[in-house]
Amino acid sequence: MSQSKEPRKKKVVVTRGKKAKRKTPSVVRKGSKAADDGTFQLLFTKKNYMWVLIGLGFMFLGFLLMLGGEQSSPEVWEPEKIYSFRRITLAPFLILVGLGIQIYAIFKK
Amino acid sequence: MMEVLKALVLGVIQGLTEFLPVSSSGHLELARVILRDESTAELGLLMSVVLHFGTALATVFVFRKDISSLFSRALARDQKSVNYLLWIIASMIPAALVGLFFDDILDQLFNKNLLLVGGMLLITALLLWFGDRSHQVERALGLKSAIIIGLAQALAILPGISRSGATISMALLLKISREEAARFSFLMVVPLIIGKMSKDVLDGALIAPDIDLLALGAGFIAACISGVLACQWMIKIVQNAQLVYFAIYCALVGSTAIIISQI
Repeated sequence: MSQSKEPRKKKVVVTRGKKAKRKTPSVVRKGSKAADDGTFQLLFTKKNYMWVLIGLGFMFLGFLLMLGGEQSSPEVWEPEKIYSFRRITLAPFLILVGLGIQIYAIFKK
Repeated sequence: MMEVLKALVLGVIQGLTEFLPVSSSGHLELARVILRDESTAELGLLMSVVLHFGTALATVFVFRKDISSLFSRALARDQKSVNYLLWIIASMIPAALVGLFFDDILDQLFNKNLLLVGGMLLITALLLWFGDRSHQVERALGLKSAIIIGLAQALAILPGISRSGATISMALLLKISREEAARFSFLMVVPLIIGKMSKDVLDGALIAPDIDLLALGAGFIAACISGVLACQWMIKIVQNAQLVYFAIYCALVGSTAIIISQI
C-alpha cells in the first residue's frame, strides 16, 4: 500500500503579452516563402509597377504629341497643320503602344 | 480644375456603369447633360476613348488568370480552350458588323437624345427582370449560344441598353450558369473594346486642338479603379441573383429620362 507520492509538479502558465499573441501581417511579395503563411501579399512586383509607369509614360507622350493644331486665324485653313504626321499617326501609335505595355504589365510574372 | 473634377466624375460613372447592368453610354449622356458638359464633339470622343481604355484594362486585370490560362491551354492545343476562344470571336461578329456599317447613324443616335436613352433603359430593365428570374438548368456554352449572346451585345450598341445587362440576361435566358454568363459577358467585350478604340485612335478622329491632359489622366485612372471594383461586384451580383434591383433602377431612371425629355 505504500505508494510513493510524486512531488506535485508546479503548473507553469506562460502568459504572452497582447503583442506576442498576434502576428502583425507583414507585406510580402507573391511567390516568396512567407507568402504561404497567410500574410498579406502584394499583387504585383516592383517590375510590374515599373511597366505600368512606362505604359503611362507612352500614353502621356502620345497625348502630348496630339496637342496643337490651332489655326492662326478663323479665316485660315491649314490642313497640314491639323492633320500632321505627328498628330494623326505618331501620337495615336504611341497611345496604343502605351496601352499594350499596360496589358503586358498586368500579365508579366 | 473643374475639368479635372468633371473627368473624375465621368471616369467613375464609366467604370461603374460599364460593368453594372445600367448602360454606360446612357449614363454618360445623362451625366454630360447634368454636368452641363459643353465640350466639343472631338473632345467628347477623346474622353470616351480614354475612359473605355480604362475599363478595358480593368477587365483584363480582373480576368487576368482566366485570360492567361485560356491562351496557354489553347496554345497547348486544349480543344475546350480553343473552342472557347472561337466562341468569343463568333460572339464579336454581330457587334463588329453593326459598328462597321451603322457607325454614322449610331453617332447621331448618341447625340444627347434623352427620349431614346429613356426608352432603351426600360428595355434593359425588362431584360434584367426576365433574365434574373429565368429557371436555371445550367446548360453548357456553345457556338449557337455564343452567337445569340453576340446579337444581344450588338443590340446594346444603342444608348440606354446595357451591354453587360443584355448579354448576361440573354445567357441566363439560354440557361447558362450564372458564373459562366458573367465570365463570358466580360471576356467577350475585351477584344471588341480594344479593337473599337484602336480604330478610333488610328482613324485620326482624335485631334481635338485643346486637350486637357490632366483631365484625361484623371478620367483614365478613375475609370480603371472604379471598373475593377465594379467588375468584381457585378460577378457577385450575378451569382447571388440580385439583377432584379438593377431592373428596378433602370426602370426608374428610364422613366425619369422620358419625363425630362418631354418637359
